[in-house]
Amino acid sequence: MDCMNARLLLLFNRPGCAEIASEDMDSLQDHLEHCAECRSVAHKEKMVDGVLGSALRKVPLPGGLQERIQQRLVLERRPRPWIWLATAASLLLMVGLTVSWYLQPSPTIDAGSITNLRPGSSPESVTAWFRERGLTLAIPPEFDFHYLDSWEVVSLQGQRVPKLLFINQGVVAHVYVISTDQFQYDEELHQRLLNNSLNAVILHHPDNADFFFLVINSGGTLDSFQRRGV
Amino acid sequence: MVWPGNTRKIEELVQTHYRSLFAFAYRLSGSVQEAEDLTQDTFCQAQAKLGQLRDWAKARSWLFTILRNGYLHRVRARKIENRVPLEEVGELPERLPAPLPEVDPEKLQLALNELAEEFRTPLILFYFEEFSYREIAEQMEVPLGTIMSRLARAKAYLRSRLLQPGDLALAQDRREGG
Repeated sequence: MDCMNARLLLLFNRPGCAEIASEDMDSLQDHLEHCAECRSVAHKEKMVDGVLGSALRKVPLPGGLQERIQQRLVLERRPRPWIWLATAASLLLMVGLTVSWYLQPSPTIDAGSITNLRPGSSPESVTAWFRERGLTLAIPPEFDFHYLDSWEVVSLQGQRVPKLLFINQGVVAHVYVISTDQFQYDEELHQRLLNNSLNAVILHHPDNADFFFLVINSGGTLDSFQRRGV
Repeated sequence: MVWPGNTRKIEELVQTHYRSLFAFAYRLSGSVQEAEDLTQDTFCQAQAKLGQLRDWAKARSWLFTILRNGYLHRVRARKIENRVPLEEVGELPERLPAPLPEVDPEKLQLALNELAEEFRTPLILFYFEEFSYREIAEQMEVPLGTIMSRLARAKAYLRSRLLQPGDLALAQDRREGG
């Protein structure tokens, strides 16, 4: 063993040190027997560690520490009434909510809410219904409102839009009334819709450029919904 | 919930380890009051989590780890960090008087307080002579080599702060004067 390795081992050597292999310890002892300089360093290391270790371990204990620890542990073991009360209150609340949810009567059907299911409503009353919900309805002029079956507010790509459902002799047409504030009119979309088999078309409003209509029908033509005189 | 058997076990832990835990806490924090708080908190946590201690032989190491985590939590909350450029640490003084004088306890604690926690903890644990290097590494969750390196630098720092000839003369003067 050379001096450099011996000095490194000396830094970590201490009684009962398990991390230094016994062969290394033997080599270190051999080296120290023959090297006076390292022996001096080893002696100094031992002295310095002795002085510092002794000083570091010398910590006066405050009087009554053990008793105070025991008292604190006893306090911690005691059931805390506020915790029990809070837990009991939470449980009661949960049980109460669950029971009330089960016991609550089924809702009755509100006559007002079914007005939009009544066929043949006038364009004015339907427009008013949507206005109450913050939406402007443009009336599709090609459609006869005698065939209006129902209407509702739907979400189209995240936008609230009015939807009208027309039915006549088994033919169904879903009419989405779209504002140009919400969606741009896309001529290419119109062409794509015409070219595929979705039975969907885009209709302009002849008098109001702020709106257009996306119409999806179940087959056949839209002629069956045509207003007389349009 | 603490089971009756656990009450006896925790009392046994207190009886066996409260002295060394307090000493560790004091050297770590530098304050008697904080050391007592840390020691009490450690046993409270141990009482609450006693079921997690699978190997009773590792109880001491487990308690020290809880205490250190509690200390780190407090330090982070206070946003206090000790830093000393350990690169500037000197070598062990060549000339040492024999026998070596006693180290001034105040200066020792001041020097410890100046060290960053990652250097202070292995140093304290090393001098407490209760843990192997491997156990210290496990407690701090760092590789053994890192512990060795931190320990070497921390020891050199402590020596340079406390065992320079000027400091020795001062310590001797105090002893003679006192």
